[in-house]
Amino acid sequence: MMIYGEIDHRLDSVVKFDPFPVDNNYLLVIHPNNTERWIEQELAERLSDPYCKGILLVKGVPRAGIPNNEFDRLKEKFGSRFHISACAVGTLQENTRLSGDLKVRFKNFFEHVRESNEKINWSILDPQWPNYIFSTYLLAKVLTTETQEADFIASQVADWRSVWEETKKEYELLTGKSLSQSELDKNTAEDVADQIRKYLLTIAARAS
Amino acid sequence: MLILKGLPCDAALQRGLLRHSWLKNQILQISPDFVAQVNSRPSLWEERESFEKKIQSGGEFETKLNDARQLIRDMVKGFSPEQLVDRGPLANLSQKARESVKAVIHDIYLRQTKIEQYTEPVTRAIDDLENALREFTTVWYLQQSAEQNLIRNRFEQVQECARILHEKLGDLPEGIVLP
Repeated sequence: MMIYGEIDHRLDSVVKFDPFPVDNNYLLVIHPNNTERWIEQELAERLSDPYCKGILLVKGVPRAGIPNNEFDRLKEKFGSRFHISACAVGTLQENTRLSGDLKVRFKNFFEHVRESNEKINWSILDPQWPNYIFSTYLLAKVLTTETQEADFIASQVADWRSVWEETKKEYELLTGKSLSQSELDKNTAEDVADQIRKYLLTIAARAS
Repeated sequence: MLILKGLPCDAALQRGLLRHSWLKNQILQISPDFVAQVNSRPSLWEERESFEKKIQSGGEFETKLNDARQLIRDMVKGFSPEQLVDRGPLANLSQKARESVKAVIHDIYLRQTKIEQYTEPVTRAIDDLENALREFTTVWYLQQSAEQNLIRNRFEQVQECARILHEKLGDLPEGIVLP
């Protein structure tokens, strides 16, 4: 499948867009200036092209600023060919610029699209459960306990610091907000676990 | 309970297969009148052959009963969040750190879910269904052209036990549980 972009340079490190098509199946990647207006005025028409096998919206805010319930409604209305990136992807100048695990996911996703001809698997781009976030949730839960294991984990920060750093990034890209704690330790673990749990509950509610 | 639905979980997959593919589709949705007819009408020999492949000794239903017992043996670990430690970003921690996280998380999970308390009622439901199936199969094979009412009645008993097992399996989590 070919990949066409109506977007600036924010995805340049993970995909090389093709020139606009004539008669090939394609994925269209869009960065709309006004998301709601674009969806209202353009989406149906773009999807009416039988060669268009998917439309992906990417912006510098999570879900391009569309609330989750509205996103679910749009998916129901327009079907599986339509998707909006759950994570914010900012420009190279912004701190939400593509990096780390998300960059790998985008790269894998576009490779998958290249190899597909019909159906696009959006879960490569947006896994239902964010790995780093629930991994840190487990660490935080351990640190909240008065156990020898908690003391040991607390002493091994170097071992899991990268998980914590990726989690902060993932949380911000998915929610548009920062975790209130900059460090994870025995003093902050309860608060970190609470914040993450609230976020995970919103995903669980959507999954059920 | 926070359940990670959709994340690969063998126990949840087995729970779903037993409830839907077996109990619901192959027992609960079958009309007892039809089962009685399959037993007595020669014209339904194909249906009879297919049905007997399920109920005979070593048949599909016996395999499913064994699968259900295996699920009960595996379920405490099967729904535990400790399995996430080895397959996510925490897999890169030292072995001692991973074992520490697993031990504490599994302990919290056991206390919060009390999952072990489901073992006894589900096991009892499996035993009851096994007994009901045995009685049904005996009637089915021993009485040539058995009275349709008896076949129907025994299959209704099988369905009642299947309904209870379906409900008890439904009490189990639908995925890995996060404490």
